[in-house]
Amino acid sequence: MEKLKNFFESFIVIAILLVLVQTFLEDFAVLAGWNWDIRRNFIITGFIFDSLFTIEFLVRYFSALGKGQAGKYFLEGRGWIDFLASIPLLLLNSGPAFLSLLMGGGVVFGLGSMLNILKIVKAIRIARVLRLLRILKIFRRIKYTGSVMAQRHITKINTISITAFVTTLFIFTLAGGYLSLPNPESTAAERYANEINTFIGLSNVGGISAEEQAAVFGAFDKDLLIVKDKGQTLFSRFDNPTYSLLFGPGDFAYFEKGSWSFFFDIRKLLRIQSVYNLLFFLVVIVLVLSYLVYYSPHFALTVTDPVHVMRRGFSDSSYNLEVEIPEKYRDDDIYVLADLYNKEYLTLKQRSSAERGAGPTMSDLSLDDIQDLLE
Amino acid sequence: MVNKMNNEEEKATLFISRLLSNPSLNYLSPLQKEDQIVSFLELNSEQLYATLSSPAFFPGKPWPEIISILETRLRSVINSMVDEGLKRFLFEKIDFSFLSGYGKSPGQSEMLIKSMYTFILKSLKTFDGRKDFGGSYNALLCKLPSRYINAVFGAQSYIHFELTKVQRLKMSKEEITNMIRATLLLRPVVHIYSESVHDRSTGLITKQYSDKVKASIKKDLPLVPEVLLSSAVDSNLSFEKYKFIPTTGRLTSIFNNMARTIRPNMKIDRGASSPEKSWLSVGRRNYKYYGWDIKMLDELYRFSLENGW
Repeated sequence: MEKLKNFFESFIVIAILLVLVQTFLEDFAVLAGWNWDIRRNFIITGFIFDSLFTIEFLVRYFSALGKGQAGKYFLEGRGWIDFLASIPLLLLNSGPAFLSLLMGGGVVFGLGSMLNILKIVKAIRIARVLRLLRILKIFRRIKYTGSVMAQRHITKINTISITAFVTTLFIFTLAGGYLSLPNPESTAAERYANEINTFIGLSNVGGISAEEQAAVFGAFDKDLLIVKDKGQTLFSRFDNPTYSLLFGPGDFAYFEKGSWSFFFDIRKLLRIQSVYNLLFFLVVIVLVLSYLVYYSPHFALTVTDPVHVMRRGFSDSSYNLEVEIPEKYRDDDIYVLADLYNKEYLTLKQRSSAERGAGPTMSDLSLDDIQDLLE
Repeated sequence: MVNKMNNEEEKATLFISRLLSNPSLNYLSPLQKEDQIVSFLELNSEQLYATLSSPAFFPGKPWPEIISILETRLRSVINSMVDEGLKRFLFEKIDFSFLSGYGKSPGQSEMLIKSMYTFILKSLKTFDGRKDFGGSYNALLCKLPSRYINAVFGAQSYIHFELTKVQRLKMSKEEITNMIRATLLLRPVVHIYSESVHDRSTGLITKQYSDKVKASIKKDLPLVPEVLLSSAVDSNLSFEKYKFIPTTGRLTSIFNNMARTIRPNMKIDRGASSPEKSWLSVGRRNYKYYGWDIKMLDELYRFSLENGW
C-alpha cells in the first residue's frame, strides 16, 4: 500500500513537471505561430492533464472524506490548491477547447454573437491563470531542505505570494469584464462589426461588384479571411490546404449578417493573450526560483543552521562547535541567542565535560548498526 | 577451560571488530573509537545484555563480567592500533635530531627514543594516562604542532618571542616542531607514578607533584634532556599560578587539550565554526580555569581564523 502511495506521489510530481512544460509550450506555440497540428496536440495533452488532476483531487478528497477529514484536507492539507488547479481548469479552459476541437471550432464560436465570443475568450483567459497554482503543488512536494521548519516557512511564504499574485490577476481579469475596460478583444470586435456594417452598406450602393468590394476590404484588412454571400465564396485570403495547415478552430471568428458570412483571423488576439500568459508564467517561475535559490539558503543561514548547531550542542555532549555569527546579522535575535550559547553555554560545557571525566555520554554508534547481531 | 576462554575471546573479538568497522567511527582516532565503543556499551547495556547473554555469545554471564571481557578485548585491539601509530611517530615521523643540541649523540638519542616508547606504553595502562595520550596522539594525527608552529614563525609575534627570546631555543622551526611533538608524547608519563594526583576537573597537577615526577623520570630516563622533561611534565601545571612553564610546555598543554575534542576529517555542520576555531574561542574564555596562556590562545585563535582551521 505504501509502495503504491509512493508511486502515485512520484507520478503526480512528474505529471506536474510535464504540465508546466506543456503550459509554457502551449502559449509559446501560439506566440511563435506554430502549425495547427502541433498546437492541437497541446490542447489534447492539456485536457488529459486537467482530467488527471481532477481525478487526483477527487481521489484525495473522497479518501479524506471517508476518514472524516475532508475539511482538514481542504484547508490544512491545502486541498484548495488541488481543487483550484484542477476542476475549474477542466470546466473553463481545456474542456471547452477540447470540445471545440471535437465538434469543429465553428460550433463553439460561430453560434454565438460577438459578445459571446468575447465571453468565451475571457473565461478561458481567467481560468488559465489558475494553472500557475500547480507550481505550488510541486513546490510543497519537493524536499529541498533537511529542516522541517525551513520547508514549512518557505512553502508558506511561496504559497502566500503566488496565491496573492494569481488571485489578483483572476479578480482583475474578472472585474475587467464587468467594468468594460478597453481590451484587445472588445476593440477587435468593434472593428469587425464596423467593417461588416460598412461592407453591407456599400454593397447596397452598387457600382462595384461584390467580389471586387471583398477584394478591396481584404487588401485593407489583413484579418479578413473569407467573405461569403448566400454560401458562395467572394473572397478567400488562402487556399484550403493553407487553412488546414495554419488554422485551428479557435483561430478565427465567424460572423453572419443577412446572407453574408465573414471569417476573421483572430490569431493576433491570441498572441497578445499568450504574451500575457507567458509573462504571468515567468513571474511565477521567477518567484518560485527566487524562494528556492535565494530565500531558502538565506533562511537556512539566518535561522535553521544556527538553531541546528545549538540543538546538537545541547543534545550531544561531545559536540562543541560554536555557532558562526555573520557580522551583519549579529543583532538578530537568533544570533544574540547564539552568542550567549557560544559564550556562556559552551564555556560551562567544556568545564562540566572535564568534570565528568572527559568521557562522551553519547555515542556515534547506534543499536541499528548491529541489528543483525541483535536478532 | 582454555578452549572456552579462547572461544569467548573470539566472540568478543568478533563483536568488537564489528563495532570498530562501523563507518560512523571511520574518521576517529583509535582512542576516540575506544571512547565511543565504551560509551555505546554503557548506554545500551540493557538491550545488549539480552543478546550478549544468549548462547551465541556469553551464556549465563552477568553484565559486569561481559563488559569486562569486551572492554579488555577492546583495549587490546586499540592498543595494537595505537602501538603501531606510536612506533610510526617515534621511529619514523619525529626527527629527534634536535637532541643533538642538548649534547646527545645519535646512539644516546636512539636509546632515549626506545625508553620513551616503553614509558609511553606504561602510561597507556593507566586510565588518566590513556585519556591524556588520546589528546597527544590526536594532536599529532591532526598535525597541530607543524601547522601552528609554521604560522607562529610566519607571524613572528608573541609565541615566537616566547620560544626564541624567553625560552631561548636556538633551533629551527622544524626542530621546535619536533620537540613539541616529542613533548606531547611524553606528557602522559606523569600518570605512571601515581594515578589521580591531578585536579579531576582541570587535569592540572601541583608543583610539588611535578617536581617529584621530574625527579623520578630523571632516574628512570636519565637520557631525557631537562628542557624536554620540564616541558612535558610542567605542561600539566597552571600558567596562572606558575609563570615559569616553558613555552613548549604551554603549547603542548593547549594542543593536547584541543585535540581531545577534535575529530580528524570531521564534517562540519553548515553554520558552525571549525572545531579548532571553536575550541580556541571557548578556551580563551576558560583560560584561567584550565591555566592556559591567554596571549598564546589569542594568537592561535587568530591563526585558525586566518587559515580557516
